[in-house]
Amino acid sequence: MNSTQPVIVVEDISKTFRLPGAEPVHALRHLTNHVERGEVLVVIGPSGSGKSTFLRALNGLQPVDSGTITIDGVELTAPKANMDKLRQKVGMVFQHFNLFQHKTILENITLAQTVVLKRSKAEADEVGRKLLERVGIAEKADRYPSQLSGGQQQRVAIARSLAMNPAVMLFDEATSALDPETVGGVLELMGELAAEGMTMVVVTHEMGFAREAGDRMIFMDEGAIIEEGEPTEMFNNPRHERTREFLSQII
Amino acid sequence: MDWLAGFYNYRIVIQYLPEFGYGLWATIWISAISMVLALSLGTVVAIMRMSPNPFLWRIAAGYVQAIRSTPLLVQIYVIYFALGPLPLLGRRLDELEGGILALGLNAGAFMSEIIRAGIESVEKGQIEGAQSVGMTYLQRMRYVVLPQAIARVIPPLLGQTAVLIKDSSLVSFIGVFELFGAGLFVYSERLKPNEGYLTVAACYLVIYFVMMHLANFAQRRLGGAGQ
Repeated sequence: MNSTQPVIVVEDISKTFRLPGAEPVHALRHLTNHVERGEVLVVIGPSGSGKSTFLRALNGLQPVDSGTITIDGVELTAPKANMDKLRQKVGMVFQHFNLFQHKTILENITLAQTVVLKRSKAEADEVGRKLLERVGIAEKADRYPSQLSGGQQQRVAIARSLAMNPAVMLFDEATSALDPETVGGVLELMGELAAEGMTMVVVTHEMGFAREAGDRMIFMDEGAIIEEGEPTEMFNNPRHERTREFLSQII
Repeated sequence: MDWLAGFYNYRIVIQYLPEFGYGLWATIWISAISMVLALSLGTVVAIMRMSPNPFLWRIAAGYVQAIRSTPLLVQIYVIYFALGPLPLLGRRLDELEGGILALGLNAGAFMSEIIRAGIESVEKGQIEGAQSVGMTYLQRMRYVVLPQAIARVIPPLLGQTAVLIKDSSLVSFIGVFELFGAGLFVYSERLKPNEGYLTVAACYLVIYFVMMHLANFAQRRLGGAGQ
């Protein structure tokens, strides 16, 4: 694997949702983009712009109609692609955390390590406890997700992904469902990951994070990339009318 | 106290304690094996029923429909007298095997519908969370979906198991000696219905209470504090 190749190569992907009795929705229109190793790509756009569909396509949770997506040299749009194997390399953090409700915090982090990566229980526990310490909630190891605040749950979800040693981390509005006072801790953790060189694609409305941690930003609308650039530059001098409009609404 | 001894003479019950004991034990393990069979079958059928493959879900739906629309006693007779002589094991199915198979097939159909409702109640986010860490379909089912689904439907599964334990008395009609069989035996030897049937009824009641406590315990264990 050539390490100078982009980790994520998206070529001309399209996706149309067709529901009976409704107009077809073009969620993605001929979208092309590359993400380099260690790069942090921030994706912004109004709701319904296709940014979540784009992110979910990157780990195959959302199949696309056409085009190709290659992650770390493996094409996930290939007809016989092993999605489960591929997702081991692509961590995903969801808006609503999606922690396993019936497992303790530590078990949430060790489950996939033991059943997917076949690590021993002792090894998985050790990795799990180190990660919990890293995300700052080691003392909650034996609690259940419902006993934690949203921000704490989201940090557990990040630790659960990190335990798989992913090549890429995807964040789907990771702080949108959090109480305001817990947002900061999660953003800080995401910033640390970015600083450590993790390749990240981040769908967010947090412009402070985009400015500080983002290497590149794309603005999406109606399933297409309208504008792309360095975040601070885009905030200060948006070139497109629609970008300007959107930014003025959220800042 | 003569009237009491006439109504229910405990000396007769004590005299037949070995028969009652053996019958109680037989009912417990016949029900236990049938329940394991029914739970496994019910889980597989529930998953088949939800499969996008029409061949699989039609088989599952047909099986559930067939069981629901015929009486258990008929099912026991059909399986024992029709399936029994077929050279499936290289020998005839004995009455115990036939009885357990019929009870398991019967309860399995009802449990599959309960388990299916449980699986459908698990949030899509749980499945996506499991997908995002690379778990395969079977791993997601086994470690994430089924434990939560089954924990949620323990009360109805308990109800179905209570039905199964009570229904297991029907296998005495093909000659299996279990709890109800012990009652029949006492009645036929001494012509004392109460000592036979009341004792049996009390035993079924005790089994039910023990089982309810076990189910409460299991629900706490499986569900986690979040449930």
